[in-house]
Amino acid sequence: MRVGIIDYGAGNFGSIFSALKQIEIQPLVVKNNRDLLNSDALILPGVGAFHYGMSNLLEMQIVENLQAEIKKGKKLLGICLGMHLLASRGTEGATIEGINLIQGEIIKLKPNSTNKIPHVGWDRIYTKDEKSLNYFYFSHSYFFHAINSINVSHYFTWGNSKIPAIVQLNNIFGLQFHPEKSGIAGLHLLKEILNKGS
Amino acid sequence: MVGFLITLFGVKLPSKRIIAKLDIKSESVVKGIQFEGLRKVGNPKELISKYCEDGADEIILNDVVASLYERANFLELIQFIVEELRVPLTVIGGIKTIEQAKRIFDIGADKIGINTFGFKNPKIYEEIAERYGSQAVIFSIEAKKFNVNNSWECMADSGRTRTHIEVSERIKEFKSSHAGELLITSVDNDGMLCGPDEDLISLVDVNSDFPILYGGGIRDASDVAKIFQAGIDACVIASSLHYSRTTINGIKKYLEASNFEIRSLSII
Repeated sequence: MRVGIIDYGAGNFGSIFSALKQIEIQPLVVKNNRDLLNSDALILPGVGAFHYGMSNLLEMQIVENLQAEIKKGKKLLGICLGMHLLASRGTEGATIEGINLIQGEIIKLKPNSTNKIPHVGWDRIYTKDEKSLNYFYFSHSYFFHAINSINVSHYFTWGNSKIPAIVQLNNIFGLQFHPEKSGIAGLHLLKEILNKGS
Repeated sequence: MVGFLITLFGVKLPSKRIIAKLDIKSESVVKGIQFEGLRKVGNPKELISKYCEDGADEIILNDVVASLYERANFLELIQFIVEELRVPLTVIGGIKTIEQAKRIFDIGADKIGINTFGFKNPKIYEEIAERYGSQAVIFSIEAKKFNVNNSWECMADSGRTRTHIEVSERIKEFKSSHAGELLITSVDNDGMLCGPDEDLISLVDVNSDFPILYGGGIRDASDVAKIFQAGIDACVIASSLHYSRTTINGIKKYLEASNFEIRSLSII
């Protein structure tokens, strides 16, 4: 399986690349539409601001092809900013449209009596039936507000709220946390998602 | 002792963090006392690997030399941490430009921290946050006590240069800076293994919206529990770890037993 990591200049490309090698997947660099087509599965990494990331991605002129390939069934995993870009729209800075593969909006986290912003640190994620899983490392100020709750497979708690940790729609996966920074649990999860259904 | 309940009226609290800080000069980890008299204390890769295995939630690397020609070693160390250890990594020490920050982020570090250059260019925090997000930018303060009661001055250049700016004023600058987290280090307690500066900690409004990291003087689990109870979100430990006075494993066991919310080392 050829896993292509989209390199759009938005950070953490290197750490995802080396994480894949550690789970014995030889990744490819995706810099253009040809690389995109040559990959069997795709990863959209990313660290930083929505507006900056989306602008970079648009400049590469691969968004339409990406949407088409995913609709044909190619697996796509978005990580952190990459997860956010899967949404319909981001509101960080100026409002800008996302890739629009999972309906939702990226909006700012609000602090409360128990939680501070940005959300930085290790937190447990939970399944829909409230089963607790491992700790993963989070570092973000915005979150994925999914339109359809069926697209949220795992969440973390934020005061009395539940915030999406993993979003999913068929062959599309989005992780809010950094699996490449979350020790062994992170590597296992990456392996599981990439090998799922292959 | 009474720790923070993992759930407070049914609401799960966010995890506190134990952060190991390493001051790097050439190929060695060094450590001073009150930011002076740096002594070699070990091999960076060995110590960082050990701390990660022990459960460090993050690592802070401080480039003590902060000069251009020394950086090749330092960047190679960052790469090692990113590729082999995959622990969340913060880099501080002499960061002046967004280009330097970019270089550090491109290799795979998660956050950068700025102290000295933040005085010369207050906009640097915002410039970097705009592209990388505020969560990637730490506002760092080195606090040294005045002769006057309950007053601290900000220091620059690794505790060497006086700024004549009060810490309480500087904290206000942080709030409008667009940096995400505040790191306060006690210059007086640094390397002294005398416990945290609790009066300094009380300067910060721990109930405000932003995460606060504290370092300086932390000896053991009891010190860590004390500052967590005071509302600090992450403790930064150097000497006590480098001189093997405490271990992260030991600290976490103590904290778990006291019902603090902390990332446990067991994996499901």
